[in-house]
Amino acid sequence: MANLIFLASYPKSGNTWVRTFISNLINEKDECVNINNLNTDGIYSSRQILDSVMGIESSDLSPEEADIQRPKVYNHLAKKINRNLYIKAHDAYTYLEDGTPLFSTVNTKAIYIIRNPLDVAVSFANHISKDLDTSIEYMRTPDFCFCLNDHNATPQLRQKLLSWSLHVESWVKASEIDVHFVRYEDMKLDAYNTFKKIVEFIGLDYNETQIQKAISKSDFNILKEQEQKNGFKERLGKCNSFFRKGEVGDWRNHLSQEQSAKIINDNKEMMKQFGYLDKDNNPIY
Amino acid sequence: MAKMKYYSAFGLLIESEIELPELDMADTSILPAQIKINLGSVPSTLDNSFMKTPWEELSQESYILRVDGIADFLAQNGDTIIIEPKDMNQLDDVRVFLFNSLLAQLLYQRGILILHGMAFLMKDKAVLLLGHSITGKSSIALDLYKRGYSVINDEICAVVIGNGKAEILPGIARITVWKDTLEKFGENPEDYNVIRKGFYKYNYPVETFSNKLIEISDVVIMNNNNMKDIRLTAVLGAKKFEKLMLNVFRLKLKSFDSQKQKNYNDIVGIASCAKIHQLDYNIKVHHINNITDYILKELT
Repeated sequence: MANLIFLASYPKSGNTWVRTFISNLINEKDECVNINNLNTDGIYSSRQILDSVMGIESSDLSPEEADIQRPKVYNHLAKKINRNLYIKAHDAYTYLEDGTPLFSTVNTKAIYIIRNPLDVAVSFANHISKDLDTSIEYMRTPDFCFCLNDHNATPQLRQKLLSWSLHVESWVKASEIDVHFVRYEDMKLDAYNTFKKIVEFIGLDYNETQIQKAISKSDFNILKEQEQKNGFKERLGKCNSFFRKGEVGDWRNHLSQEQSAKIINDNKEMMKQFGYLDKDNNPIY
Repeated sequence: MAKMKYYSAFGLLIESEIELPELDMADTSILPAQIKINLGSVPSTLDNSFMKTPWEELSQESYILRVDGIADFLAQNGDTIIIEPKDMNQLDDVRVFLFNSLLAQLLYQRGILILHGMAFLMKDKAVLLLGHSITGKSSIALDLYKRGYSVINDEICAVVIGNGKAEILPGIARITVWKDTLEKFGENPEDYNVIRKGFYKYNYPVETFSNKLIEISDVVIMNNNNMKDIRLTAVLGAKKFEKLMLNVFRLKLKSFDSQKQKNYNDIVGIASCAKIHQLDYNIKVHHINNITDYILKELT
């Protein structure tokens, strides 16, 4: 059966990596997929998909009006699909005023990719071209949103990210759909087993050789090289490169003790739940 | 009986039960009207529809659009629009969708091809800038208007092919722009009407155009990407057809055979009559006035 599969994450947590892996896996060609032409199916905040299905301009709707339509549109699509749709999402798993989930639920499941917030903070600062303190501040803001500006046309619909912890927690508590949680660090340190579980969760039938090959073709250095050569359409305007280092624990080279303590203090509970802190609240990675 | 108002747009006389302040008032001595807009009941379903979603329904002669909380609309036979508003006090909201999807569909029913973009006048001919939403077309339109160029259309371009020429019908004399854009161009947003209450998107009126057809000389396909430089390149051969097809307004709405064939023929007509270019740029990096400068330099 075909499903709509959300690839959900807080930004800079490995979403593009997972999408590239899936693209390379289902592409089955020898060459690596082009990061600007992945075989996945856009982002949940895409205006183009909403406009195309509804027959109107989503920019003529308020963010609240557009949010009401998002699950309707994707539930409508999910009833008609004859192949899996892989949709990236950065929204937290929130609910509309009437209690309906913001995300579609028909034939839907989700893979939630989580990364150590200490590393996210560094990568996120690079992504949004802001300093580390701003990045940390955004990550602790309970009503933080992408594309909130209502004084200008935003390329995507408003996305409620909430704080990093609330984002993670919202997906942990998502009860209407089946969610598979994947840690960025496990994709790095135990790639085969981690990606194999992703493949099994989706319900795809690929053998070890095929999975290993897709992992190799999705190597961070290949993605970085592609970006350096041809650019990457998902890179934000002022950011020099979307693919920065991709290392586990690189935060130790960038965050001050005060900054890391702030992140740990803000996100203690979720960090512990996902194995990023030991029993004494010391970072594991 | 409601007092009717008369307007003109896209070369057509429109008789309307509701006020349409964005349109030019028309001379009623040239009655009868070619399009009638009335308030009324929109049917719950269409006979013989071949496309139906919770938002739209389409048959050979009719099109229904349902906008949650705003209105249900019916466009029929190329000459009638029925509107069933949810709230008679919110007709501003109704007009937003009337002037976009509904009018476009009605024009399709009249055999007119609709391309997604804006058009301006250059050396007495029309230049079309085509692209999806949020590609900067309306900001460029405002920039061009401020530089003294006439803006023929914003958002939907109604094109007719005949006598070896591709021509455009002047539409609604306005550009819809966001607050930030107005301010960038030195305008005070308070001087303009918002398109919907609570929105920061405004109707910027432009000088009214005559209703005559204007020959199209150039079509620029806007390709917003992450390139470092702005670049205009000629589109040649079969690529012209392919690129134009991607910019037909709401393509799915015209999938019935006779209209599909006509649209194909019209696209071929534009591809053979006008020069087709692709503009690569990065809206996140390049300033609107630099993009406008570049377009004007390259097309002059």
